Amino acid sequence: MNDRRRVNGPPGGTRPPVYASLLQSGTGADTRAQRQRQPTDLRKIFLKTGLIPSASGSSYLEFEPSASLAAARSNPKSLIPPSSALKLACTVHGPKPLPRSAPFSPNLVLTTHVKYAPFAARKRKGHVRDSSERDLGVHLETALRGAIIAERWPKSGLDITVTILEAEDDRWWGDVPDSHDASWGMMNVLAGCISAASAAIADAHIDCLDLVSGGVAALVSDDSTDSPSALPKLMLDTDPAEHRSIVSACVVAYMPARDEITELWLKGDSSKVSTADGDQRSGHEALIDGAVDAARGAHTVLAEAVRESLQKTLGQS
Amino acid sequence: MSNKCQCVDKPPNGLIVLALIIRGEKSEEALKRRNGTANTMATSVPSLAIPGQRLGSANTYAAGPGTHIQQTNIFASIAGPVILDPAQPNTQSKATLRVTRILSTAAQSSPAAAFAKSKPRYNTLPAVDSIVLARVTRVQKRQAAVSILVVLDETSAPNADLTKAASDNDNIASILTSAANPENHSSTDELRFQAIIRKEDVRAVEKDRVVMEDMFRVGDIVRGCVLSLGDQTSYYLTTARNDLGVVMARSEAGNMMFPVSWKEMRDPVTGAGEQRKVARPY
Amino acid sequence: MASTSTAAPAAPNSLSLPPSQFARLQPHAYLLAHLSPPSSSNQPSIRANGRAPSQFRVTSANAGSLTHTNGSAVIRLGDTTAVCGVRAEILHTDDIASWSVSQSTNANKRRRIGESEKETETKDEEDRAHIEDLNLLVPNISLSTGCAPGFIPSAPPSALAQSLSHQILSLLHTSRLVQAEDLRIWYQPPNLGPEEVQQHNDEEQMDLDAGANEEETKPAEIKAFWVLYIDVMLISLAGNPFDAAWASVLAALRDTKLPKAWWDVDNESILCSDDVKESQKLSLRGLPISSSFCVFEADAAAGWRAVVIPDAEEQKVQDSKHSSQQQKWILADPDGYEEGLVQERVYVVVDKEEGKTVIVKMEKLGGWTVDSEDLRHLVDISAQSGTPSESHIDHEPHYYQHHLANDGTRLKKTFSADLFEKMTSRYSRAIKTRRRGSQVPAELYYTPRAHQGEMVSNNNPASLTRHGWSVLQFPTTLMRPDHPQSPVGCFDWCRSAPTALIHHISLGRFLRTAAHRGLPGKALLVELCRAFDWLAMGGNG
Repeated sequence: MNDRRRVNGPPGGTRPPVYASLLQSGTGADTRAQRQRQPTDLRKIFLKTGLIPSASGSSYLEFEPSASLAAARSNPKSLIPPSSALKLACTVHGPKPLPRSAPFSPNLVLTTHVKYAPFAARKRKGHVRDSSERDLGVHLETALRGAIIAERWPKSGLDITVTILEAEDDRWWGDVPDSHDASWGMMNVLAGCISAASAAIADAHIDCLDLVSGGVAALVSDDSTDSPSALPKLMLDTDPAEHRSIVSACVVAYMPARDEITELWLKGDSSKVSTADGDQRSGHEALIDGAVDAARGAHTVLAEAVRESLQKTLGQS
Repeated sequence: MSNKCQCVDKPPNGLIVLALIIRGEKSEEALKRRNGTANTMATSVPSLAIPGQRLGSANTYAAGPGTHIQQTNIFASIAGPVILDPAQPNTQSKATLRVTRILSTAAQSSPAAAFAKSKPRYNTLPAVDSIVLARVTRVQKRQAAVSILVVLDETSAPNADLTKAASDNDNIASILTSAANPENHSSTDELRFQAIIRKEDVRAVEKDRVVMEDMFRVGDIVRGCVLSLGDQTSYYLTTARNDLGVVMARSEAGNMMFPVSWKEMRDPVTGAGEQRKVARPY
Repeated sequence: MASTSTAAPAAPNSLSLPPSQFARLQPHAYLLAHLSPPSSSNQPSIRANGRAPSQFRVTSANAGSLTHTNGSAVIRLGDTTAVCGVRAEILHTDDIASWSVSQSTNANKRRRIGESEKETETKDEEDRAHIEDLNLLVPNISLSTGCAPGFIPSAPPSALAQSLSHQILSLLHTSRLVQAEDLRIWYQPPNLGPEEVQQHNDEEQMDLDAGANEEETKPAEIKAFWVLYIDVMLISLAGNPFDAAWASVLAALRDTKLPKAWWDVDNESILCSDDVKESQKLSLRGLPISSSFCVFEADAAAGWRAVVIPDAEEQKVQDSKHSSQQQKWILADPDGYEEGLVQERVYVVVDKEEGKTVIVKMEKLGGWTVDSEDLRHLVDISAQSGTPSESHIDHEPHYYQHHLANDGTRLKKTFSADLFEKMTSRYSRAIKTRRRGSQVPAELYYTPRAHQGEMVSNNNPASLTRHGWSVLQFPTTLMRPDHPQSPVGCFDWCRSAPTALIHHISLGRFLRTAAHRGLPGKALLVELCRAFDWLAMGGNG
């Protein structure tokens, strides 16, 4: 169907470029992205609030590029990026009146929208929101609703919009999807959305219980050549492009001040995990704890960014 | 803290020029730090707060706007300067901790007495007894519809410090950047809170002889007082006070009029008078 | 701001309001108070945002920061931020329904023309045909990013987003920025047996380029095209979205690298090399820079000021001004607040060619106050050099150039008198051939249109395609005198391709109501004709 409200490309459709090197099997294995961080090391986060003055609150978040991506950027050899790093912008509009059709609400009504830019992922995205974007929106809303003190803002609405400029990969680009495959990149995106939205809400001076932050942990089995008895290891803040196989992953929205989780999303098989000696936790417990640890790390960034913008505003006036 | 964050000119990938990069900490360290700061805060009230930050014990202080209570502690719920309002001398009440959303230094130094007199405000929305400035959007036989432009703080008496009246979204920079009408005029009204002035709330005297067309015209700026939060769509306003009513209006010729009496305004160019429910000018 | 605070308390019987509230309650008067401070105070006329009327905002650009794009750029124009990503995909000629047909007709045409001087024109025509007819450039602007409160993120593209997308598309086409050759993927078939050559020659002889007609080798054929998806996300909208979007498109295209691609006979598909060294940058034609202006009118607010400052002399001045002419300011690079207060806009897109500056596009829409005299005046003030108030348009390319051009060249004078001469002489040449010195019959350009909506984006690509490049046309629309509310005037000129420097001009006028201005429809018509005449005569009276 032709979308008459947009400029359409050729009616017959186009095909993404096919790289010759991909067709030759076995190549690229040496260029596979490798995790350079320790399992508990998190990536750096760039976060800044208040960049969009027409919004009541806004934030911009960017993950540090992985070692392989940074190397590819400084010394470009191939046109195929080894991995990507999350970049997103979040705006908060409101509190504003509810639409006429909406019923009376004594609380703040939260609306969330998550949209990928067409160029955000390896595969070109459409302009219309797809199911994964709706899914992310619902998860984000759950995460934020638990943190906002909605009853302070009766009969008003808050619109939160996240635009993803660059998403994370679901797997390394050279790998074929296997049985373990899922949209792992989406979980990293959600964690980023939560932290960014939280910063934007703080920028908009909407009451909340705590700065809620997002964190990801995953159970990873990297040694495909090893015996099948090798158990998957727990890693924090995983970049799916850096791992051969992610067995399961977990994203949480976490409020450190209250030690509360407002959103939990766990995917995959977490029954097996190689834990340290004496660690009696089951796989999913370890996974959740790992995600909470990652979220704590993100919270320190979040707190610093909010404080910094507050000091900047006070300094100006 | 300083060893954990570093300021650089560019973010790693450089979408936006100025950057603060904070190293993701190992969780144990983060936890340690959090506990450490919490302990130090117990003794003194911090000057600046971010949401989720512990401000003090609920046994020592009362929780004001911008804060919430979790178990026996007061936590900040918005980011801003922390203000400690001393207890009223002749009452038994505790000193109140609040986090203000007014980010001007003038507001910080202003005496807390003004606050203590009025009800605490937990948000910037129109509330009962709020004085608002609104634009008339529709005049009907029984009521006039208005769109609320500015919520004036109750504390802002006519001769009070003007900066105090600034509400959260009264940042001049943001007004100037945001489009007055992004697409058309109707959508701007959807972004503003709507209110209704019923015929019986227009004035205090001769209520039954009110003719709405002689009270308000579309485009007038009206000062009103919020009667109630109303239904799901509209607040209810009243102008039945001397200081309430039309404050700015244009004549049919398009000129700004000045008030000549409590029910008339005059066009300075044509000299023609028009009827309005005029607010008492200060 | 200072002028407001002096203005508001000056009237004892008016409200005293902080500037922020005044700005919201009386936006028009607020801006006016800044632009025309009372003569008693020695304040300069300055905009509410602190800029001089002709001052542009600071622009910064950053290219190549997005991983999954062939080229990308972030442009910050003050507080307006646009992110543009270019993605290249492949369009096989097999997937183009009418490909073989169009090829043969083109070839026929080429053979018929045959002569060498026509060749460039044919090539240009082919460039245009490939890029425009095959939709090889696909720009889309998204405002559903929460960039401003008025846009609902889940809603389909707003009217503004649609119009911006089409403006960018049309500017990409008319400026011929991207060369079709960069987008073609050729295939040189190996020499085969003679009978096959014979068979091929029967069909495809027409494909031969006159120059590349080497008897021995088989002709190279186009196997596929690159299609450039140019997506602009406006992250923050604080006025002037067009300039920001266009600048981001331009910077992203300059950053764009296309991989080396070839037709693989074994796979029967196009394959690409991922080697960066083999990839190629686009070779863009020129660097067209856009500048937008809006016109702020004093209008009815003159009376408001008279109330605030009850000064008899001031009043008199105001009166005389009011009676003679509306006071107005032409504001460069308007912010969102100003955009909400104006009805009239001027877009100018300029480029530099062989050391001289040329107009790529000039558009004026809405409003009623800027007439031909004012256009001339705009040119005049721009031409003034050495005066403290530097011309608006002079300013503009400086900063864009600074950030976008790597070669360090700067446009010196973009809208100088010299340029104006050039522009008008081109017009006059073009137009006079058509006019043959006679008066344009009124019925020629008095063509009421059914769709008023079309007038607003009078730069719509459909009409451009229709009018094309090869023929000089004047699709001109005026408003209907009997219908005061309905349009307007619209001049729409296109020059023929080979030497075209002025690609497209449209001049639109929107009448609010004839009654409002006290102008009967007929007078308006006459006025429009005069403007048309002025342009047609090359502006020399």
